[in-house]
Amino acid sequence: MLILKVAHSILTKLSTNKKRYLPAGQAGKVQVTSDKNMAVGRKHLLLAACGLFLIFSVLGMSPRPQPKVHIKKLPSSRYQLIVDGKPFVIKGVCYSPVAVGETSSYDWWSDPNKPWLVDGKLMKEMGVNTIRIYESHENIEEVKTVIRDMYEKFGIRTIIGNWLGFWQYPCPFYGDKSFEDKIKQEILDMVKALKDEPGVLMWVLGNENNYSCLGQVNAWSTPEIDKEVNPQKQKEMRSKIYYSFVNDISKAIHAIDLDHPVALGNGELIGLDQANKYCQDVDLVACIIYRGRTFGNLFNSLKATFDKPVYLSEFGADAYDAYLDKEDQNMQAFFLESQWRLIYQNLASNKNGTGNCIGGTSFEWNDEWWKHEEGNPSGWKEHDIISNWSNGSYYFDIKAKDNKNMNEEWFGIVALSQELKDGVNKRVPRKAYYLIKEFWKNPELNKSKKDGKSK
Amino acid sequence: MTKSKIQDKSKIQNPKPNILIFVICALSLFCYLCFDICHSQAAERNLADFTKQVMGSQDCAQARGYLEEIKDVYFKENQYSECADFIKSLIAKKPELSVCANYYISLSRFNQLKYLEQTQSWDEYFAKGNDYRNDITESAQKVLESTMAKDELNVRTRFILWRFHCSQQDAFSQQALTELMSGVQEYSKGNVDLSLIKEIAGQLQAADEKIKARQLYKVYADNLVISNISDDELINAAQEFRKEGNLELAEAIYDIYIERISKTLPSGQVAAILSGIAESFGFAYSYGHSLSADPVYAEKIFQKMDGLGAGMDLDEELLYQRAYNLEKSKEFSGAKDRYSELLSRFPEGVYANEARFKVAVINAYVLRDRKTAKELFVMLSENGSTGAFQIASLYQLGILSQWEEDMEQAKKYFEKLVELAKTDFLQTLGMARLRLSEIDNEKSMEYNLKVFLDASFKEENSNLNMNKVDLAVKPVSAPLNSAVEIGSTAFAEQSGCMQVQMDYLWSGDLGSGSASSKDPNFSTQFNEPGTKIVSVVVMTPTGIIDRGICLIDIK
Repeated sequence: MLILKVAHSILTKLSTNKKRYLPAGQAGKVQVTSDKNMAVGRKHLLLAACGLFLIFSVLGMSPRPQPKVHIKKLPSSRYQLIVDGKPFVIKGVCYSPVAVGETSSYDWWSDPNKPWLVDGKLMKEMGVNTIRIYESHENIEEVKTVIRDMYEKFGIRTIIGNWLGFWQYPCPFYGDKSFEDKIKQEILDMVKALKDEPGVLMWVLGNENNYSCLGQVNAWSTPEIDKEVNPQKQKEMRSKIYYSFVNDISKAIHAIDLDHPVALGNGELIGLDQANKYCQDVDLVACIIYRGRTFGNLFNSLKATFDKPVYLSEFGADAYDAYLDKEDQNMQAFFLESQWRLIYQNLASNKNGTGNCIGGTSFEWNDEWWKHEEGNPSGWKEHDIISNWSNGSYYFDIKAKDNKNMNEEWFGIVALSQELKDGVNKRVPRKAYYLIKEFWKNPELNKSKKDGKSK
Repeated sequence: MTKSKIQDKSKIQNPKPNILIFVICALSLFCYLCFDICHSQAAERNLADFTKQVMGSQDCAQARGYLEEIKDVYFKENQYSECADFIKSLIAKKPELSVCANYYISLSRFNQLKYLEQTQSWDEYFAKGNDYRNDITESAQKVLESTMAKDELNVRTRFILWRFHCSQQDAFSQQALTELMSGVQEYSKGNVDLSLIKEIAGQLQAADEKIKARQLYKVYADNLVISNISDDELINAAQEFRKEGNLELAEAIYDIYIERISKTLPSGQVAAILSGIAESFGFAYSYGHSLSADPVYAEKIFQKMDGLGAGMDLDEELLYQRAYNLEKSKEFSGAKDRYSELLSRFPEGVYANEARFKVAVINAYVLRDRKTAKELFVMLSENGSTGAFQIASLYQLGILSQWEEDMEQAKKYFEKLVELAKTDFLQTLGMARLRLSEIDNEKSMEYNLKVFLDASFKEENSNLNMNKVDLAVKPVSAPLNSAVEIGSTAFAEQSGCMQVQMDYLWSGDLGSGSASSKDPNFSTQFNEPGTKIVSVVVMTPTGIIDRGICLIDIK
């Protein structure tokens, strides 16, 4: 391909040179003859180029193949994820197998009982092809083991994220050169160490960090921002700093790893107008979204604000009815099935959707019992039923006290039991597990009116 | 005698009540069964009759009425699936009716899905949901392919499709809405069933598609006018819709009515009619007649009067209502202008003190003009009467001076208040004594009040313009010692799963209720008359979101 390109550029050069020497007034006439000569010359050159290409191919000097994982842009801003040359739909789950009685700092990577082997088997049976891990681990060999086990034993690929220092104490200092350099280096070290693992699917930078640009969660500032009195301008300044930082890391990753796309983790579509200005070097958006049974106008809005493919990196529903105070697996299954239907409606393969979605990883594989009152270790052994936040889009139990209906400890499509099996909390798949399994086997989508014509 | 024997004997001695209960139960059961059988038989008979009529129909137009009856029989019992299956069986026997039958299949499946979700009948929902969804879209498609956009069945089918996609919140809902709107426009050019347009507009309104709903109400109203309806009938129709609570439609008809009379009646007469309409949409009239108020529409009519040059002719009562409407709908700047006009035109009028007090409050806390506010409060405090507005003005002067750290002046105002209030204004008196104690003990002002005043007057808080916090009061005007509900809504930035902890710093006239900083709502009562000022500052750990105030009239 490279040789053909070179040949073509020589030809173009030749043709422009010829034209330049034509006497004025004869250009049109002579051009015909000249074109004929050019066509013959071009033929010869092309033949020579093909010959050269064959020779180089035989000698093993073929041009660089397509990246293992890349995004293919189709007409009308439709996108497809291509893995090993084939279209790939991310059918995934967010994965954080924290054992009952442990908390977020639990080092499951070094658990000798290898919980991922139990989960991988169940995931494979369900049809999961991807897990999303929020952040790598300091012991990179353990990370490699998990990625390899999941890929080699179950055919499951891994999306690896990085928090970009969002949960470090004190708040993240985006805009502070030394802080940014430190984070960037951490990420590049991780990419270097893991990029050759066949199970790696892509990198995700950040999660809901963009909310910090609005100044109400994990707020951060710089002396320049502090000087600005207009709050709207302050937000724009923070967004510019943050998205430029992500862009900078993305470029650096691309420089060392051509085989995996880089995603911008983003809460909702907040700030993507700014990302459009400052973060064009990411390949896609990994969107975190909790809008009940649907994603609303997300796919169309994204197309209008930041024309990149989207992968739904977090969505889902809890399995606890905070109003009736009881587990409700049906409610969770109802929301998840609807959400997956929407994802499929907007894949590039469905001509009626927006075509910019490449899949999703629902939140989450297993329940996490530590989430309510993280600071209270006795609570880590309790499956708390106290809701942490309110979201009216999950309407079945919105009438719960103070409208708090989202139960963080109940988002798993697999419940955990205190009972151990081979040293791992027993996994109990919920109804959503079976329903999504069936959906993935035969994704039935109700047809739109576009399929037919009205008079 | 053992206990058991005594019990046995008592059973034998009193057999009658048991028998009576048994007989009553048996009779009830018998009656119920008879009724049920009769009811079922009647339904079956009806169904058989309707089916016969359908089978005898030549075309869809003839069969529609009977199919509608069949649908009603099934829908009444929530038997949507049975309805769809039954109608499918009819198509098999009489394919020429397939167009209208497909409409009923689509409608039945749509209602069935809704019913399954409402009753949380998940087994059927999960097992058959996809089939039902396909039935809805496929049957609807067949109808659309066989009908014209101007046909009623076509519009009804588009209506089903929009509701379906809207309920699924899927990628096609916007397209379905566009097609529904264009369908209705096309349909409205012909022989129109107005109730269908009204129903669609109502559903759009309920789905928060307000602009689209308004467009269809306009279509409805235009069609009413085309039907040569008289002015009186038009106004009656508007009033009926108003009573139904359908303000949008009532206003659309009033608009057409006003347009019509503007062309035919002299401007003086038009102005008189307009003032009546404006008054009827205001708070005072609406509350008195248990109707929903629309102060924004009332103001729109007042502005039409201004256009006719009749604005200056408003009498004291109507001018007060205009200002009052604006104030209660938080159009504070407009309210200030109207209250000021009221003061200049009726300086000795019944509303003068209230108007002056409200102009002062708006100047202080909305427009940040403390100087003008203080001048007006001083005027009120020195007007010689010991009324609610004089007492309240003294309190306001006191807190403004205290905030400005002019403690001597603040103390004078509070002491004068204590002297004048005696036992008539206990709640304000209590607050004044607290402020006095703060001054005497050299303590800082109550925290919440201080934060509110800082937020209102400090230069660095000039961006806090009350557009991110909304205070709602119910009712806006209340009798003494009656319940008043106050609620605040803060429009915070999105934060995803990370919940932002909000604190509500309530201050001002809080009455006898207790407002918690963790609660956006509270309930209270006031035991003294006057205009009460409730204020709030909503805070997050990273700073103030915004502030808000509301005025409550206690009479």
